[in-house]
Amino acid sequence: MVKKKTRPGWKLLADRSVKVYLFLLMALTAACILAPVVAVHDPDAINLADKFAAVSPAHPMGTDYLGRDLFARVLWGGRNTLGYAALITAVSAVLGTGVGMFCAFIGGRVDRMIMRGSDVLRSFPGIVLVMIVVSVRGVGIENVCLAMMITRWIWYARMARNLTRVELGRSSVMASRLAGSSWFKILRRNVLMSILPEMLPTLSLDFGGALLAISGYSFLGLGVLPPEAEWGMMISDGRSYMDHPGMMFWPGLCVVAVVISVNYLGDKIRDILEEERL
Amino acid sequence: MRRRLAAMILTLAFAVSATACGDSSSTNGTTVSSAAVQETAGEADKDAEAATAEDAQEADAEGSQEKEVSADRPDTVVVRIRKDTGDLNPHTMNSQMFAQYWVYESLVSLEDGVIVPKLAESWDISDDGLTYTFHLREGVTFSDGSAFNAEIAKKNIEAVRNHADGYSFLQSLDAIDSIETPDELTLILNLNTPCNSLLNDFTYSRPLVMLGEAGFPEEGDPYDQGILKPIGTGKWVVAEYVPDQYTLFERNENYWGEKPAFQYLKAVVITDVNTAAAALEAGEIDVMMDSSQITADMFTRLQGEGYTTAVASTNSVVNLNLNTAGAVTGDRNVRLALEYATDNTVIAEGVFGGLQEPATAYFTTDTAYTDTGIEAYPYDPEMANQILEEAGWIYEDGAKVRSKDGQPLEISVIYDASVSTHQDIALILQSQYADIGMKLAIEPQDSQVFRQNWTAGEFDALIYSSWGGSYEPYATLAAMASEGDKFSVVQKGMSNKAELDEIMTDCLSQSDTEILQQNFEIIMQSFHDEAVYVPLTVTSKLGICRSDLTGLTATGNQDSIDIDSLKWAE
Amino acid sequence: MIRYFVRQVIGLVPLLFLVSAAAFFLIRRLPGDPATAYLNSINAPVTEESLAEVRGQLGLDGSVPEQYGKWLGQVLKGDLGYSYQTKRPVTEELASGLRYTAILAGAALLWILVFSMLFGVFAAARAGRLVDSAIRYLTFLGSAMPKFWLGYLLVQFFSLKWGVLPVQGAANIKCLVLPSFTLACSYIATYTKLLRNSILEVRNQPYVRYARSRGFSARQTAWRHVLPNALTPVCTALGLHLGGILSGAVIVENVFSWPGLGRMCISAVTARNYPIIQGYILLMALIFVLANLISDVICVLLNPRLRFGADEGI
Repeated sequence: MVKKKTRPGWKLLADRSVKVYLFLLMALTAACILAPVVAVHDPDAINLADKFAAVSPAHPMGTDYLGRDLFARVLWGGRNTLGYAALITAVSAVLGTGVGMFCAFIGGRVDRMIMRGSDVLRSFPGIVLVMIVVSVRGVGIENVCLAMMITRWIWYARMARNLTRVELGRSSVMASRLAGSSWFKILRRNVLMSILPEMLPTLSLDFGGALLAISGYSFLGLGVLPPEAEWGMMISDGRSYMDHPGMMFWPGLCVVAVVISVNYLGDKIRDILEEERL
Repeated sequence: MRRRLAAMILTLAFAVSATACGDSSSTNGTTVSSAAVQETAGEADKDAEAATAEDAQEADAEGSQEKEVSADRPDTVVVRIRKDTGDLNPHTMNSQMFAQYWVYESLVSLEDGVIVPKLAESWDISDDGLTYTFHLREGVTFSDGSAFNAEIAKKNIEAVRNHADGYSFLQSLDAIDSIETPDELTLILNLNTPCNSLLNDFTYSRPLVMLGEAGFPEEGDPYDQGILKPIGTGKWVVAEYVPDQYTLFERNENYWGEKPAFQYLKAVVITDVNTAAAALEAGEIDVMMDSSQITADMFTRLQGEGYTTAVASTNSVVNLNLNTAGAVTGDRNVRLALEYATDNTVIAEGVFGGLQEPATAYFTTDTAYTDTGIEAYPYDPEMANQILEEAGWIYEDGAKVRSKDGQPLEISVIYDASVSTHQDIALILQSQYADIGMKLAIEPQDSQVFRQNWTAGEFDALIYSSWGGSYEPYATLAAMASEGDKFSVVQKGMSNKAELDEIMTDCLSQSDTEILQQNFEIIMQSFHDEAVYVPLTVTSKLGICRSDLTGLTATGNQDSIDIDSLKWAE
Repeated sequence: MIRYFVRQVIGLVPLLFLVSAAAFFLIRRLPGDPATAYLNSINAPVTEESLAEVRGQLGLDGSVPEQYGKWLGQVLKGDLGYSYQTKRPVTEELASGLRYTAILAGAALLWILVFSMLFGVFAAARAGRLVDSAIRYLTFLGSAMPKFWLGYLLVQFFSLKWGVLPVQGAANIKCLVLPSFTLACSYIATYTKLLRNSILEVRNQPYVRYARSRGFSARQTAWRHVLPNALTPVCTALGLHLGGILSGAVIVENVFSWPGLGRMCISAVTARNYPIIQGYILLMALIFVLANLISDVICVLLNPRLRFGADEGI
């Protein structure tokens, strides 16, 4: 997620908290990716004789109301939660940046029309869009993701468009043009490379936003299909079992850890970029 | 400087601008008790503005006093309801049944499976089953003081009959030929064909209940034109209705029978059941009761904390319906295996904490005529394996899932995603069926899509609670016998479907009780032999109230909220 | 200024028109025919005749463009039709929900403004020190928790443990505190940070230094020069976020049983109550564009320098 090659990248890594958060994020992601290896238990295996088991070496986080191992569910749930949040963010960022750059480059009527269109989409209440897509295409996380992408790319598009317009006005672009570079090359080399770092903080913050949104939709019963785990759904299930706070606590802790980390990183990147500019 | 000031004010205005929006767009509509809405809203407006300064210290004395008024008033009982009560039209399906039971009454009612007198003190049925004579209770008045008599009863029944199509689940409406009122207190219904469900139909919360004269619209019927006022003979009278928030009921001082101890009943809308439990613990509500949302864990926890509780078995059974015409489930052996592979005691214990009983058949044993003594299939996974094995469903080289002629033993179960317990049931079934080499895919669906797929026969299995209303078993039989109905679709692949339809239709009007009993035996036996339904659990109604209230009783009627006998403990 | 305002308002018309058309055609792609849903909800038999009758009653006969034309004509007269379920006018239903959602969102905005001003000014004054990072972590924590979880925890403490605030309802101001705070929490971090950085930036502007050199005290310059200018990005962002705040209210309304639009909208989609869904989408779009407009205007008022370039748009 963080570009290490550029000088600001090194500056970023010099910050101790950044290191801690990056480590936290990578450790969690790795644990989730390695869930099939790390988790001994089947996340969906029901064992009613062992429900609400306490924390023990066999169940590092205890078990839930159906006797499923919480540790395994948190890890497998993370695959869903983190994976889909990353997917949503990546797709909307790529799509949005592409459209934004195109609009800025083309300008004129096409630009205005696309921007108007995006306004229409943007003013659609997100929840309705999700509910409509889910009704048309069926309950399931893929459809929730699809509905979320429909509106999320717009933020990137607007940002990329504004940034690109600034970049295109620079003399360096003019110089490259005079030197015979094609517009495509200019867009790729000069523009994209200089707007990417600017978009990084948004990307990072948006990842947290997407993660929270997924868990919110899970709460409303629109997300992942059971028996698969997902952090938001796990927290929401836990609300009914107050005597066993572990059901809410562990997935909740993961959500908070991830969102705080990406927010912090996004924030730091933005700070460093601003310092650079001054 | 002035401009700055203006900007600051505008910022504030921005914060409350949407509020203003709400007010301006509401000018064209006033509701039943819009005064109340306006009052609360106005208050909140004022407060929202005041909130600028106070933020940190909200505990202003005025607010807290206001809040306590209803909770502290010993003559008000506050009940949690899931959905807005609706306009309380007794002849339509748009209002909540529990509220209709509070406000309206019918000629008879159903208690523990027995028809008992209500507005009719007694009734005679002619030997041919074609004439019902009701002797109405004397001295009953509607909440507005007008008298209840044979005329108004006739008017209500006629108004319902005018729209018989709207109540397809009631068999009696088509059977009624004419209505006579020889005197004030005698009502005679002449039927064109015997109708076994007639008395049952009169026990349901709608539409055959009595609306006072003043409630009828000037033209048309309540069914299509709505009602003017919710006027009934029931124990409670609507005093104030704030849509989506609460309905306040006042005790009907003219009530003919025993009156409730509380003078007011406030029904507060709380959608989320966890919020409702918290509200109960915080003392904001006194009672909550329902048959679908309160979880076993919540129930036992609150019970342990000293709250008064009540449990009652209802007439509704959660069944796994197997599509007899499905690709895989069309094979009777597969269905039989499913019957043997299902351990519903685990569901009763694991999902419902032992608060629900395992079911034995599609109908409960309390439902008239349906308790035919047929033993349900026992839990016997080995038997299930054997049946599948013999039927050619085998494990092909080390596969976890059986298959036959290349078709894997995979089915999907659909259910209405809004019912959370059905999800847990599906999960348990999934693990049980895995033991016999069957893969169960779980597909929760949007309510409308669920119905659509069901009606179209596009499913292998589905989880659904049988209706279990007081009109049972006749309404369900009628639906099962009518082609194209979703209840009929499930049975499409039964070997004796055509014959069964005739028998079920005959049940509706068969006046000879012996033949009737025989019919039911054939029906229940067919369901059993063909393994159409896997009975899971009998739905329970759970009630919880604060510990200083006594008299919490839950009746077997899944739709009612029983608060009439509640009173403060001494 | 006025000309700018008028031009912006006129620009809204085609936008709203497009949104309404998109909404109308999109929700007609929903599976589950509303006439069938309606018949099911009133337990009536679904036959060809009954379907035809209901379609007539509900205005569902004719092609979709025809239906749209009819609907649009009514909307222009201020009539959004009648709810299929309750038979009450949609405007009336939406208005009663909107009133509560607006109160909730308004209160949330106040929390956001108050807290981000407080924290933002404080963090800027102590930039780089312990207080600054403490505020950062505190606000981050608030924004990192899923709303339904945060709401649940707040209820556990404020309502059940300490008994100071009600769990649910909309009866009085105390009922508003927890839901609005829950809603606001996700945004406080963003705005605190925005304001902090913006203050730091403005503080270094020449005109602020000039004011200081003219003999204004630090406090005076802070109030007269720094804060109003620093608030500009906050206003822009608020306008952009209002839609999100209103959408986010759906979850909060569910958790706190707040009688707002969100609850109504969810049940409307479930029941295929077209008029309500259409009305809701249109209303949300209207609020969204108006919020953007108002935030523009506030920014221009706060920051007169923008007035000349304002026609460029955001």
